[in-house]
Amino acid sequence: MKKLILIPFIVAIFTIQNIQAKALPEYTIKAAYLYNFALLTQWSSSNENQSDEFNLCFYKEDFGIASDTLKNKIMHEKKIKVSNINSIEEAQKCQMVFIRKEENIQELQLVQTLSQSQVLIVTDNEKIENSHITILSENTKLVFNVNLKYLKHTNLAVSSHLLKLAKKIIQ
Amino acid sequence: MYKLGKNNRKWFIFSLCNFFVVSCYAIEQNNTFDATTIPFEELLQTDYIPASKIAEQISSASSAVSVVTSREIKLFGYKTLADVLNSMRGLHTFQDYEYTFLGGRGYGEPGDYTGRIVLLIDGYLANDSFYGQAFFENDGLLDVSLIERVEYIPGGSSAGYTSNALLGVINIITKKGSDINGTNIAYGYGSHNTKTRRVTFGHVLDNGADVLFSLSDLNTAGRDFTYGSGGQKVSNTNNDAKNYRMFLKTSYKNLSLEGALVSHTKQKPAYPSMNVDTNLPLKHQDRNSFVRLKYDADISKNTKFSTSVWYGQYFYDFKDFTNSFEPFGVKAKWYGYDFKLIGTWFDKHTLSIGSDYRHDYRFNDYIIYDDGIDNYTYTPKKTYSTYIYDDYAMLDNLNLNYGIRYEKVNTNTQKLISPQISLIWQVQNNTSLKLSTSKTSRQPTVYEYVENKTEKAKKTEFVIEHTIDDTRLLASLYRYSIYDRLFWYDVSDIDAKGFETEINKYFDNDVYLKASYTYQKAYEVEDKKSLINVPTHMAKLHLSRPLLGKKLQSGLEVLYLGSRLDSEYDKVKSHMVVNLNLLSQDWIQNINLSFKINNLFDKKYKDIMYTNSSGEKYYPQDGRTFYLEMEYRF
Repeated sequence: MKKLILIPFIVAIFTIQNIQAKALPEYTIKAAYLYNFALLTQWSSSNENQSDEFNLCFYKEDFGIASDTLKNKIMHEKKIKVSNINSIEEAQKCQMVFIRKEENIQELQLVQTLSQSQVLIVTDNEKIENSHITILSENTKLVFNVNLKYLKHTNLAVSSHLLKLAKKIIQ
Repeated sequence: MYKLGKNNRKWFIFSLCNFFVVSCYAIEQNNTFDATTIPFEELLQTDYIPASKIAEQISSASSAVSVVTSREIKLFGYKTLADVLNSMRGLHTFQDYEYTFLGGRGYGEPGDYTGRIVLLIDGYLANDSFYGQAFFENDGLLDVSLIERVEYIPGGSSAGYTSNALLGVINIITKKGSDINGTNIAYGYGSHNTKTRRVTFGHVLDNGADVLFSLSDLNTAGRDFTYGSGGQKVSNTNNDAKNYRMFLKTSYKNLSLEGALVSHTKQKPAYPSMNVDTNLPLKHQDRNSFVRLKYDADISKNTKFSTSVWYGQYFYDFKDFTNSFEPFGVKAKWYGYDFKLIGTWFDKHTLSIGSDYRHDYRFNDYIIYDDGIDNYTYTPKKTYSTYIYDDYAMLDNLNLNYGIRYEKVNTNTQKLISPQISLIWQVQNNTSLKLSTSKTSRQPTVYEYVENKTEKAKKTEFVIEHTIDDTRLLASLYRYSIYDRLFWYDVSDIDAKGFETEINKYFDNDVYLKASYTYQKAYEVEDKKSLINVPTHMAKLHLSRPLLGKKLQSGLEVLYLGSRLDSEYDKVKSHMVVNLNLLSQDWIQNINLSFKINNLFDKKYKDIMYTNSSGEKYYPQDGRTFYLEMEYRF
């Protein structure tokens, strides 16, 4: 029996080499989605904040090590800075904010404040109506909706390529 | 001081080496796969492994899982884990003034220390190791304000969870520092002169470290009650309780550290537990604590790795002021480690492979006599277990889950094998059918002291789930067979079957409805006698809606418990209890207020006990009580 304890250890050693991924952890995929959303969105030059960095913020959410892969990548000629934030004031300094699935009054207030600003709001909570992009699970895949109804009140421009990949476009 | 023997040392060193070699190997790998390298179109076609499944190895797809979130805990004003469990479909809690017990799906024996249900806190097995007890009241490790989510997974899924999950798993996910984001100070006051205090600090530091720390305590005078037949009037000073708790949870990058401590002291009247004609109390103290260090990493594109090492201890002390019994107590200490891999190495398969090692290195009990202390040391217990679990996507809409857990304990010649298999068919986008069968085994606890036996349960379950917009419908048909039961004497096998259904619906304007109905029958196979304290019918209704604009949220809970048999097989009539909670969040800035009325209509009802020489068969329960809590956030 004691030898059985070794099994996972041996499996670990022999299987760590990459084989083509058929499934990836949720946060790994979501982090990559955020990267692609940012890549396919243009911020008007007036919105460019004074910082030399592209601020990608997670509101009361922690992607853990999944968000580490985004750090220091270049986005629109700026280095990505990943921050965990906890207030609306902090969110206003971000180019993009991800809002967690759990909702309470603070989240709703945040979206209300930011929905017509130049901050791209992404969430995985479909109950938050006035976000810009919503990531949803559909069977075994993650899909996303784009909310043009609220985006048109901003100076954010999303590419037609992003719209083409969206599951649903809310006009 | 306990010293490791030569053989123990070898395994302890092996365990540590194994833990650190795998950890170091994992650290050396690229910790996180960078999915931005995959074209977006391809990424959209990639399956995802849900976060919860990775984090806590929960794969509940085949069971009819019940979930209560922190939002519901607030809305309905739950104060203890027992309140949360009592709100769930098919479960009911009951108490003997000392501990609270859980009944469900064909079990509900008075005084059963619920070792057949395991309690996990963020993946840590929180039952004490001597009695195997899960603590649900103020004796539990967690204040409910720290809970993000409670899941109840009915039995038969040992391979995917933990050892000994014979009849079910209660899986608790706690909050993070970022959920608190500041400091909360709470003060509560309620019936029986109950006073609670709590301070919780949570924050994400500049370096990304998440920290949560909480301290709380409780003092209550307890209640008065009178027994008709015994004529005993028990004063509330003999029924008081107090506790204090501490909880710490921190995480930084791949590492997380979590620890909790609770000390709970309670007195209860000697009558009717003992047939002693006195008003003097029995007093007991439970002290439970643990600390756990965990490391998680994506070690490659298709491999998730998780490992943890932990230490825990439990102390129980008892004093009988009637002097019928000598003071006695229990000490138990344990440590262990686990590691698991979740991988998508093969097309359409998600594999979970893992091992646990647990060393219960101290089991002592003691009795204090006038002329000295009698200490008894039980044989330390070493448990080795390993499991493999596969989620095979046979077709786009058809999944096969199967797995097996193997376990060996040095104190038991019997090996435990717990296999399970389930088929999940996604009939349409919003309808799924699940058919599962499993066999689960359980080792005896030290308290049960049954050598070389294991208890077993077979389960077959059929579940239908249907979702329409904001409405979720669920129905489950199940059958359990419990055999080779662990008891001091031979007891009959148990057969249990039942049906459960539930609806969850979110309406516009923050109105929420949850309603469930349970039908169950459980009986001993030999003489076809129904089991005691298993109600045939149970129904629950939860309704939450805003009042006064959105300044107040109300939470109404209606709990119906059907008739059941007492320990002398007499019928105990059904009862219905209504609880009401009013919650104000930020009506006054930064202040949350909640006011809960339990048993609104002052219903008289009783829980069942085993008849003893006192002749009593029931524990009368509280009538209408209230509890008010104010929380200030800054």
